[in-house]
Amino acid sequence: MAPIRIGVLSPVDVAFPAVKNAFAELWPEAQTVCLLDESLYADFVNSDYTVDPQLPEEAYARIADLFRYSRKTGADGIIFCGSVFGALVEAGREGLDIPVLTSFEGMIEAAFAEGPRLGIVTSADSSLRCLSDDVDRYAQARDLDYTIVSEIADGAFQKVVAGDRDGADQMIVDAAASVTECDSLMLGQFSMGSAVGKIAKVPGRPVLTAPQGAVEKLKRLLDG
Amino acid sequence: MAKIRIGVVSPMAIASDAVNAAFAELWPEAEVINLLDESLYADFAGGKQVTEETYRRVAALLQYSQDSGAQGIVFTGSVFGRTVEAGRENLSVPVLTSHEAMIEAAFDCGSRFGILTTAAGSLRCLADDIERYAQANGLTYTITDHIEDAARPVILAGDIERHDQMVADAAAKMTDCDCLLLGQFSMDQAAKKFADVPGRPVLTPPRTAVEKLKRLLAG
Repeated sequence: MAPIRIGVLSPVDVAFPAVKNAFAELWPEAQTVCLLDESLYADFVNSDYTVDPQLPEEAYARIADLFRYSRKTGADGIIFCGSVFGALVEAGREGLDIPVLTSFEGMIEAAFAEGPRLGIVTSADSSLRCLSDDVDRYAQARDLDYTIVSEIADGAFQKVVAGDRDGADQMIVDAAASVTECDSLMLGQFSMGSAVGKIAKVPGRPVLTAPQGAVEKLKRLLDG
Repeated sequence: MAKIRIGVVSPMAIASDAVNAAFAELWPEAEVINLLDESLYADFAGGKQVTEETYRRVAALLQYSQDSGAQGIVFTGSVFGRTVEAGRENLSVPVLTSHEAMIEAAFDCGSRFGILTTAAGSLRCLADDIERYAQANGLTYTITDHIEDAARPVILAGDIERHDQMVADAAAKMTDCDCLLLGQFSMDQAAKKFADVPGRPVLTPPRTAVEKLKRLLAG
C-alpha cells in the first residue's frame, strides 16, 4: 500500500525541520512532501510581521493555487505552516476535498480538549496576536468560552536567529514557569520545539506545540 | 525602482541554496523568491520515469512563479531539463533550465568541453542537454568527461571539505579542453578550490544562470 502523503506547505523554509521532526516522532509511516513559496511573505506580510486584516484577492488566489497543486501531486492531507496566514488558509481551503490544517488549529483543538483556561507562551507580540486571533475564530465558530493567560519571552526569537538556541530555550522555560494557572500551555512558534523537553512539568498543564498538534490531528483524520 | 524579482524553482533545497549564494555574490540587487516542490524528486527521480504528469507539474510551477511576480525564472533540477523547455513555452518571462546558461557560455569558450561530475546520472543529463543545444544551433563539439564518483558518498556523509578537495584534484587533471563544466549544483563551492588553469575557465550552473538572467533583465 502506498504511504499516506502529507503536503507540508510553508512560506519560509525554517518551518520544515520542526514539522518533519514531529512526523518522524509521531507518524513515521507518513510521507511528507514540502512545498515552499516565498512570494507570500514577500508580498503580503508587513515589516512588523503582521498581515492586513483585508488581504488582496491575489493572496487568496495564490494560496488556493498552492493547495490545488499539492492536492494534484498526490497529497492526502495538507498542513500550512505560516502562522500569520491562518484566516487566509481557512478561506483558501474551501472546496478542497482533503483536510487542510492551519499551523495552529490542531494545537488549539487539543487545548480546548484539556479545558477552557488556555496558557500561551510566545517569543514575540505578533505571534501572540496570531495565535489569539486563531483561538478566537475557533471558539466563535463553536460557541466556546475560554480565558487566556500569556507570557512573551521577549528577545528569545532574536537569540534563535543569532544562533543561541540554549539561551532562547532558557527564556522560554522561564516564561513557561510563570504560566501555570491554566489547563494547557501552548507554544506559539514552530521554532520553540527544542524548549519543550526543558520546560518544568506542571501536573494538569500539558505542553502543546503546533507541529505536534497538527501531526496528531492529521493522523487521526487520515490513519483512523 | 522596484527590485527585479527572480523565481528560483527547485525540486530540492540544496540546489536553491547554491543559486541563492550565486545571486548574493553576482547580483545582490535582485529579489530572489524560492519555490520548492519536493514532489518532483519523490515521484520522478531515483530510477522512476519522467511522465506526462512531470510535464504538467513543472509547467504549473513555472506558471505559478510567473503569476506571483517573477520577471525571470531559473529551474534548478538538472534531470528535468526537457520538461522545463516544454513548460516555459506559454510563459512571457525568460525561464532557464539549470544547464543552458552554462552550455551557452561553454560554446562561447570553444568546442572542446571538459565535464566533471560526481555521478553518472548527472553526466548523462548534461551531455543530453548539450546535444540538444548543439543540434538546435547547428554546432559541433567534443567532450572529455570524468566522474569522480568516490566524492559522492563523501558529500552525502557531510564531509564537504574532503569532497571539495577530491573534486579539485580531479579538476586539476582535466586541462586539455576549452572550458571545464561542473555537472552538479552541489559542486559550486568546490570550484573556489580549483587551481587556476590559463585558457580553461571553470563554468558552474548557478553562476552562469545568474549571469545570464542579469544580462537579460538588468541590461
